[in-house]
Amino acid sequence: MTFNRRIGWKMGSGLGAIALGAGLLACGGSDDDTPPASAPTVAAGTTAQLALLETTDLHTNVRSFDYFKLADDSTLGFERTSTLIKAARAEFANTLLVDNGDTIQGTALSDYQALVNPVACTGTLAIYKAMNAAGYDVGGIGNHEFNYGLPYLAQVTGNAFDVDGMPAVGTQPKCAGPAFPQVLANVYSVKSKQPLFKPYTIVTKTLKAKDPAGKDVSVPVKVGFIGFAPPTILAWDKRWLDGKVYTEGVKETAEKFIPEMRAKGAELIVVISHGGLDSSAYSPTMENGSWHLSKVAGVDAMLIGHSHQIFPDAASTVGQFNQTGVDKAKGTVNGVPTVMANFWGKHLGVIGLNLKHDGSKWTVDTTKTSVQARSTQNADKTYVAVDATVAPLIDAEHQATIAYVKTPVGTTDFRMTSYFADVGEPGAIEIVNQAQADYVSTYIQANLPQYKTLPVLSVSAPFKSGFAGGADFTDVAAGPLAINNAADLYLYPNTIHAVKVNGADIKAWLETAAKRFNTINPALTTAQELVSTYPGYNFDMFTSADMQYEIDVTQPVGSRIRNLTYKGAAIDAAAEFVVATNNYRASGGGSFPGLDGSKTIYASPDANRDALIAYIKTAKNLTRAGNGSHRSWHFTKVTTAGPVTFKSAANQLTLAQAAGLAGITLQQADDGSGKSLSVYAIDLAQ
Amino acid sequence: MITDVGTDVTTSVAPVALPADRSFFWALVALAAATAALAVGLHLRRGSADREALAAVSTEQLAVRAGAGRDAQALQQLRYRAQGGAAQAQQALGSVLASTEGGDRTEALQWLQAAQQQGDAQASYLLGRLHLQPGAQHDEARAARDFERAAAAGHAGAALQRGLMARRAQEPAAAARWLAQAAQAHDPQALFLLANAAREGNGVPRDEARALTLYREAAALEYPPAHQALAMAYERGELGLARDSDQAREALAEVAHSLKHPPVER
Repeated sequence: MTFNRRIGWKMGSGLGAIALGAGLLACGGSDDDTPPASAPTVAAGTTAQLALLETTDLHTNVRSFDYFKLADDSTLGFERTSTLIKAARAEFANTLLVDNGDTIQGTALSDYQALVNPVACTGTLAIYKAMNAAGYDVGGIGNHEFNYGLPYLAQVTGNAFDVDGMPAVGTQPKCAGPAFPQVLANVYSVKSKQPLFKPYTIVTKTLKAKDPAGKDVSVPVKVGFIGFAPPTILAWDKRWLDGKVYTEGVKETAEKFIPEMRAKGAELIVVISHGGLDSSAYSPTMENGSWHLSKVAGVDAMLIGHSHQIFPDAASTVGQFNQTGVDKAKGTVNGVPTVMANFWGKHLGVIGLNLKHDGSKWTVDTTKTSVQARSTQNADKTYVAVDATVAPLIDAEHQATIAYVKTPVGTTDFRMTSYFADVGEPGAIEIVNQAQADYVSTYIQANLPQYKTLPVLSVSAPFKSGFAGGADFTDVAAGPLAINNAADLYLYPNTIHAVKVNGADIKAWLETAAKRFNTINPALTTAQELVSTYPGYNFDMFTSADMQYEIDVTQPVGSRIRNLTYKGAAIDAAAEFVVATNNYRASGGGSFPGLDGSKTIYASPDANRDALIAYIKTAKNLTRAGNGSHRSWHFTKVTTAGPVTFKSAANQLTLAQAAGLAGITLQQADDGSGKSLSVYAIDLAQ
Repeated sequence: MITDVGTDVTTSVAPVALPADRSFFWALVALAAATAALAVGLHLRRGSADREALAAVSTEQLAVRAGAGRDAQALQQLRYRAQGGAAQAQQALGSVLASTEGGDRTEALQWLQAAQQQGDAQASYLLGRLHLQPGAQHDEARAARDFERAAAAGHAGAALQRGLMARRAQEPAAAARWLAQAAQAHDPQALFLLANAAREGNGVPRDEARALTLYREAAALEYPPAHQALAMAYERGELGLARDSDQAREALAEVAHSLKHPPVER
């Protein structure tokens, strides 16, 4: 791990010549070098091989571990990428290790370090600890770096930001950042009109090279790195960035700084661009500017990211890699060698450059350049072994995150399950609706006065409803509720959306949800299955005393909702309501009538799951009476000549009784599917 | 592959309230013209170095500086260019004024209309959005014409919006045609809604294979609901896919990730 490390920089104008010598670890602050007074001479004809190694979109996945499942996941994690890095360092005489960004956010570990138990000013983020040990030379800044706000970003990167809303730069503490420089050229402070980060850095690397006679020599090369983030951060993290930072177009920024970097002695220019390829007409606000960056004069290589894709890949069907100028087999964009190393540490990008010195500067023999995205997955579908040195570096943070995920946030006096949700039991759904309604209602009262007078309702669905068998249900035991139970109660990583709808929309919404049921013929004496193949995750329902309706399963799809009332009165088709739901449904997921994004009045950045956790923390002790017994709907009563049946997990009849459901009986203890399901019957006359 | 339409993400338009009184409106337009003239005067008095530096800045970048950057000089330069008759500057100034706090909404409308008259598609699109918002300027028929005008010039966002209007009007076949136009230009929301339409046979023939292709394209553009539709399809073996819980889990993880950067409204 100590070879091929960055060689050091000039640490300030008064410090004189560049420090040379393998293994010297320089910390931070390396930019804006001027050419040294006594640059070592390199003989014309000297050659060297230099590999640029890229990670991107690591999203704090240090360990091969899934914090939701609390289980190992060998498909991801830097502890495996690190194995690829070591192999590349053994293969290439000279390497520079670079991270593209989207590094500090994305797992329960990152939330733990940012929000739950914030890392101290003197502390180093777990992901940066791993990267420091790996000897990264440079890092870029992605859009997700901004997700926790500017003060946090300043702290964990060891910067002071001269922006509104933060103390004067001189009074901001100097916190520990990573041990490598981080660059970002196109994000500017509104206040100072200066780049937020160092726009670029010039790394002097001592190369193991061959002189013209074939003798081993150590000679320096100066590699300039410049970083870019998507200008669309201004929209994505508006709540943190509005009025504080703005962006400059990536192309103009590159055209401004690259000549400056050359003038300061950079012999190679490497672009670290957190963005994909988009060959449409250039705009300074385009999200994926890397294609246009390749056209800027003087760019020798590009390390790109953001799209969570693999480049090069001759077989890629991804649109951005099938554009003009993009060679997806060779790994070039308009002739510039380019790599995108997937995400979560699944791949390592490798650009092998063959350098030749002409007596005054290094040039790249472009005919010999190689570009690869190397997978942690072997040809036989197994994964490379972990680098065992990585896990111990962050073990304390890893264990603390696991403990956090298991931390009780409240209790429940009843078992919260979806076993009988299809026949009206709200035990696993009402808490979700309560949390969503509370979240939206609070937001509207504070921020959207124009909707203040509208009733706020909420819908949710039994996401797990037995499709895969008896184990495929929500089932949270009575007793303490932990963070990871929130993922049991709310399966999807959605965000809260609020839509404004009228009474007619609500009826159409419920009619669509009622597709969950087959049409029942009361005259049939044979058994009829109640539940159709329509997915349970689309069976949206209200669970509040205020909203009442019947589902008449004897009627065809579209004509089943009866006696729809709000607070005891029939709902006027024109009456307006706000309904709390999730981004998927509000955007048209499931094709509910009228829902296509245009009715959304609030698209929250907050996850339904997080709202649920917050609600449970406040409510503390959940009870059946308060949080699991409010039914909005019943079946329209009808006497059937034969049994009406449905399947649920085996041996759960007592739960139906505990929930107060009438008329449920066990028909067949084993449905014969071998999936731990029983056949139950419901008496629709009760 | 990606065509040159609809990639302008310069501004998102915040809800605006425009005065109901038309005469008041035109008085403000006159005032705006006077303000612009004053801006020219100020511009001439400014240092020539500043002026030259700003003169080299693209109109789109000026709009970012004037908007997100709160840069008064950039706003003035934008005004100067708008006053000089440049359609793109008129559109950019209009959208900055419409979307920034304290911006003059009436003047915004005036500049957007001026740009529209010169054939600026983005201006037509933004006017369509304004004409859909509640308030005195609300005019669905005008919004439809604005969107059609922009869509005819290749504006994907406008085609999407026109498609959404057709959906609201219960015209699924027309909606699908507009959505297809936007989808052709790689609009992720249009791709997703068109996939839904193909899946349900709503305005287009039912075609699960086409739906899957469209969901995948929207997912490749990191549209969160498309990842989720794929996750559910993998989980249950829908859309002709074999059940694959690993793929489902991966797609769900992509939902979480892409939700941090949903498509920016044009």
